[in-house]
Amino acid sequence: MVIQDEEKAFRKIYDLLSGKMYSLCLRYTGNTHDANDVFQEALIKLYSNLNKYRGIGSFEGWARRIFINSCLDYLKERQKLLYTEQLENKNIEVSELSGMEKLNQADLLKIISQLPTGYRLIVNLYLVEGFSHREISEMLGISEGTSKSQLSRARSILQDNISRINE
Amino acid sequence: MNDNCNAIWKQLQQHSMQPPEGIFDKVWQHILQQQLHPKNSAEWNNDIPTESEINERSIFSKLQQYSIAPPGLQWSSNGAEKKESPKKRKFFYLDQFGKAAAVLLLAGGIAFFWMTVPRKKKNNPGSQITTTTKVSPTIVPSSPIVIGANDTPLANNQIQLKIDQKNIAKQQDQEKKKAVLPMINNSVAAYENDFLLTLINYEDEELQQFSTKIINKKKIMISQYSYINLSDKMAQMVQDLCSVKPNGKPTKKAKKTKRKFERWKKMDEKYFDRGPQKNPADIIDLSDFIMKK
Repeated sequence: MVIQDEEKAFRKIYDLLSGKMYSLCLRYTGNTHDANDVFQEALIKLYSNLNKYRGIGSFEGWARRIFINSCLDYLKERQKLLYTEQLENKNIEVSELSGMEKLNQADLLKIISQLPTGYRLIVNLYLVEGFSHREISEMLGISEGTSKSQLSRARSILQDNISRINE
Repeated sequence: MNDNCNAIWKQLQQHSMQPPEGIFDKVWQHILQQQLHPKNSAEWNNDIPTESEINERSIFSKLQQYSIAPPGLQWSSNGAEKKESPKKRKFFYLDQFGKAAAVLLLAGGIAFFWMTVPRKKKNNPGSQITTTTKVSPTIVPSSPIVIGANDTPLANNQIQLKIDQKNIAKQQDQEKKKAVLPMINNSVAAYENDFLLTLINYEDEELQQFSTKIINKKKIMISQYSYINLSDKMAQMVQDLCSVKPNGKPTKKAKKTKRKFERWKKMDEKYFDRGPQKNPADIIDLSDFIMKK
């Protein structure tokens, strides 16, 4: 009886969040095969940590963090994330992306998925989720400078891809 | 990047895509399996123990209940409380409260004893035997015992119980006093392998009891084979820490030194206990810590 109730409750949560969270997994991993794997792993983590949710902040935000961490763990484990360290604290030029307004969400997802894994992570964490470079550096175990420089390089690739789609 | 661009990226957070069908059932099956076998994982099916392994496990699982007292922590219960709550005062009051309760119990026992015994003497001198010999409530004496008119066997047993309680309280009090100091090889042992914590964790009167040992031997034992050597300056600080006025209260210097130790301890915790990267046993980390002071 208790297990049946639990299943019902968890299915409700699943119905509520699965679309957004699956999209998140796809954005981070870049392919459906890995997205399916990490989505399942993250769901199990979500279930086993439900009792740790203290009601502070939105449930979706809390669950999103679990899914993001699962994606990061998955990618760290399966793919060697190599970042070239930014040794000097030089000011990194931030070039604005132009022509984005013409793109729809499917296009954006496509150009993100075309990025190399390292860049894809930074773009997702910084541009989509809104984490600061400091937070990203702690999450990925890199320096803030490296995070900034990776984003700068990712931007230039993104710009090329955006221009290509807009042509 | 302008706000419009940011907004476009942020919209991706809300993007939703239906996951493949059957994923929920698959995940739920996995969760159920995990609940049935808590240690279960993907390798569960490949990790079924053989009969001999089951036997071995039953033998080795007994080790789970095996416990060994850590070095220098015969006072483990007190020590654990101190480690968990830095508010030593609370511990001190509890200790004092315990002592006060024991004293009250003792006083009550004596008062009860003196109130009842003289009356018996007055009323019936023959009944002295019943109060002085130890008669257990469960043992029936073989020879007849003369009992006074006001004395019932129940009253005698109550007196005996009170006396026993008094003795137990006394014994417990003595044991408490004995168990205060952790020692190894007749030298003071470190608490939680931490020199600073060892010094600040004691109340003044406790510290008095082993100050001379620390100062004379200039070392604090960590285990049977390893110890911390005290420099002359540090030994002087420990001496200052233990100095008392003629009335037994700590001197101003002692209080000041204790505050200094407590401050060091906080800095030490802030620097070393933050993460596993920094380690007081690492000479570079330690020198970094000392040089920053």
